[in-house]
Amino acid sequence: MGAPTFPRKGAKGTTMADGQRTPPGAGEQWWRKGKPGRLKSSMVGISAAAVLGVYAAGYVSSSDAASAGERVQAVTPMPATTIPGATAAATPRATSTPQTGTTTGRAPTGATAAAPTATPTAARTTVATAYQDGTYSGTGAGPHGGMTVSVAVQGGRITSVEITSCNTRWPCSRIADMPARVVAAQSSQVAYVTRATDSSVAFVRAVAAALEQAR
Amino acid sequence: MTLQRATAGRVFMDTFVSFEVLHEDTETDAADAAMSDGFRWFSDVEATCSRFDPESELRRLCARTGEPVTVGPLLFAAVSFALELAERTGGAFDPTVGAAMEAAGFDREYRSQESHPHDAVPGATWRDVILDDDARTIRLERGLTLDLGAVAKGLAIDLAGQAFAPFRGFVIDAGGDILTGGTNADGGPWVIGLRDPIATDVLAGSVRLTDAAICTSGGYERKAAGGGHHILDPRTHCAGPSTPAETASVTVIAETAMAADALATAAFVLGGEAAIAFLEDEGAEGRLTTIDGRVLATRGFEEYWL
Repeated sequence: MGAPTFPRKGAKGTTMADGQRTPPGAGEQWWRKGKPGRLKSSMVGISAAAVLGVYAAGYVSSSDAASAGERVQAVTPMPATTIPGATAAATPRATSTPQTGTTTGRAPTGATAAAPTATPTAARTTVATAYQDGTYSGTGAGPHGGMTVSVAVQGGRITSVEITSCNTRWPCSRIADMPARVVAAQSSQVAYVTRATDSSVAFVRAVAAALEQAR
Repeated sequence: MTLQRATAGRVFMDTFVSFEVLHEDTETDAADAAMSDGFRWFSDVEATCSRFDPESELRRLCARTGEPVTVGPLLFAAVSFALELAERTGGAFDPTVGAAMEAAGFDREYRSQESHPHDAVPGATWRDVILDDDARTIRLERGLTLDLGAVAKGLAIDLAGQAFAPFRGFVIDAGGDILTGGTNADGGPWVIGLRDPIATDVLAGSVRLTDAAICTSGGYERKAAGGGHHILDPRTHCAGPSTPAETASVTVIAETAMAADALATAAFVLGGEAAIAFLEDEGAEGRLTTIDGRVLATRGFEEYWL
């Protein structure tokens, strides 16, 4: 399989070679120790302590279901009432939450101990451990059009990804390097893109749809 | 035991928030409860820190000037973190740019599209916000609008992440600000793409992450009516190609989303080598792309490249 190549411009003071790079401490889960370093006094250290402190204090308020009347009086100490997971039933948020766009999924189970209120409907699938050998076709659509890909699996591993049709408003050559990335990642889980949106979405969805069949 | 993948998404803070949690089939109820908790944290943070909701704790704080106001732990933590960052960046990051944001056209509540302007005196800076750690009070020396946009969403992500910590693995994606925990279904790190800030249809590359957040500040989304991007240089109250001119986008990896998001915003304004040095000092990794396509990165960033 071809090594993935990225349009790297070179980090500060380093000339990076294209192609497969062996990370430092290669082999055993190098990424586990790849956490960003931090000093307690750094902004990262401060943020980590702040998160733990707020989490320990528990939910802030009766929050989004609270009426305006309830809120007006309380510029003063917010009652840090509930500990996460403990007595959430006591608070009046619930069915009238203003959020929109809940994704699909099961009906609320009602089985959750912590929140018998508006349980988010989680979609749930069983994750198979390996892909089944074969060639799978998947189609995905994004805001700028759709595409179809063909994904080949051999020996439980993704061995190739091919874009078989491309109906996007932009030239498909723009994502010419993405199939190699899926092979390198052994996953469509490039699904998460920092500052995501738009066009590569169609590709990622198409690969995910193909791999869904391989599970 | 079989591994389950649970996903759910809702809209908070003008963005789509999605959870993915990997758990054993014996943990279904616990995972559902954790997802509830996660959304609840987003709801709490939004209700507390919204700049648009006149009834938010933040707006009620901003309505009072010249007297110490006792606030809850969440708002205090968010403001405290924002002020610390303002001090360390010499004001390049400044949570009091709220009034300028309103002036630049970012004044609409995203659900209702209603505008709720209020009285703020121009010229306020972060130095006009006085904290008392012991009493947990905040005093505003003059009328100003606090904007916790660069801090609150990250904090919500991190709080939700705490709820998901017991499980095999999870990803929280709030409009491209992402926190990963544990491992993916294959037992490996999560793979996160970085959008190219110039050719925004393609990825600039991908990184492998676990137990870390990645956030990007870029000038290519959320344009205001006037065409400027959403990051103002607090020192000039200007946005767009004229001020933080060189930076097209900054991606930051850090242990928390709160740090990653806020540091990315600060680095965007600082720009260039100063931004990279700042990120290294503050315990984060980052990658900055300039408008003309140059890439600068911290020494450790490339270790994450896929």
